[in-house]
Amino acid sequence: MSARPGLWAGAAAVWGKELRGEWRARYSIGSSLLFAAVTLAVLSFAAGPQARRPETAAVLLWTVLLFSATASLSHAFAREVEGGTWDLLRQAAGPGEVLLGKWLAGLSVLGLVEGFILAGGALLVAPSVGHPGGLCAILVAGTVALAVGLPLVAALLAQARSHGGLAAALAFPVLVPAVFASVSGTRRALEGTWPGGELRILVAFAAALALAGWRLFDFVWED
Amino acid sequence: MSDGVPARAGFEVRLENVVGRYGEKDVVGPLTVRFAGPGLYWILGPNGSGKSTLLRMMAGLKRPGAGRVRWLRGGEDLRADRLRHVSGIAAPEIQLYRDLSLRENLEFLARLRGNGARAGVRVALERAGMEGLADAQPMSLSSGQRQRARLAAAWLGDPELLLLDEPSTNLDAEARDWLYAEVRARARDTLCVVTTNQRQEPAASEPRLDLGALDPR
Repeated sequence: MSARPGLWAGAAAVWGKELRGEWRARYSIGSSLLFAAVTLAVLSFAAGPQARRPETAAVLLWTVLLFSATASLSHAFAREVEGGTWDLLRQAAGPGEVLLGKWLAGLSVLGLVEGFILAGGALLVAPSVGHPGGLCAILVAGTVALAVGLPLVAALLAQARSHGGLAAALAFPVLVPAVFASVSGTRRALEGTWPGGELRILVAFAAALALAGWRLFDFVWED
Repeated sequence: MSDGVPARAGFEVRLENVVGRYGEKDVVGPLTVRFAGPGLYWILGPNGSGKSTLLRMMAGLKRPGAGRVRWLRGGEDLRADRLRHVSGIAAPEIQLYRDLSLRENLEFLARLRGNGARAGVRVALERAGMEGLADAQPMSLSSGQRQRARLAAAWLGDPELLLLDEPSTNLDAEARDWLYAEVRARARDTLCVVTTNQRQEPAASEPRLDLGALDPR
């Protein structure tokens, strides 16, 4: 037998499998992009010229991002359970490899959806950006927080049948602090201020979620 | 292998007062049994007797409700998280990825398990008689072909512990003969544990654990 794969090699295998499946079946990209296009168009039309105001543009951006992310990432584990592949995966991989691979895949998909939303937002709303660097930093930090948090909630939800209703109740508080910080930071960046406080919150929040996810995932993993 | 244990050292699975639960109900045990490889062992029993639950516990996919399962290589305990590198399981409820071809499924598993590599994938497909369907997706296969695909995934990389849950399901008589010839050949250097509810499938000389003959709980 050949050498055992390390954590990153296993995660890369899971990441590659996820993207290949996504590319072929369009499980989440299609619905996320459609959702993003419709909500962006409707909200920007409804808000009119006010959509260009920093506070409105920030709320608009993260509302679309949050729900697009939910549409794309919330089924990552349910598909394994429903497709009968969960035990195949558990028999061949370790929990760390699977969680890390799913996180990376979620981040890849979310990055693509985000690019689409930003391009659409620039076209339909065209807000002035006072601090582009700050906006980029907030977008990256907020996206990472969502990409770490959503699959974790999805994993808990996929096992909710055996773990009771607790998982559903967890989703809201898990994600809301990240979205609040992202909206606030985006508003400040659009206004021209470096959103240092929000960035610290998002980085700390993403790190705490990653750490908690790493520990909690063993419970999801066990039958 | 890096455990300091030579590859193909005798593999054992020991069940020590193991109780298997399905939901809140105890379906099997308490059982104390030792499966020492290489060799072929049968687990017999009617539907609902706990065969699959027992096999899942032996594969490390399910925690025992009580007692413990031990895996030993060369007499040394093997950690449960290392089991995936040296074991394979095929069961009716375990499916391959429908969006990947058979070859891609096996390559993915080989990368995760660290066994087999590409050459191993080809060999596993050939031994399952599936080399001509390597680029087909599982959903395009017949139920018998899907069963062969599951078997190829289970014996990918020649694992030291091979667990097969009712492997003759969906196979015709000719394919069943092929399957058991293959399993018996593998049992020369592999610990093979096979469940069935067909009492005629084990040969008279082969060791068996009859769950239907145990005292009901």
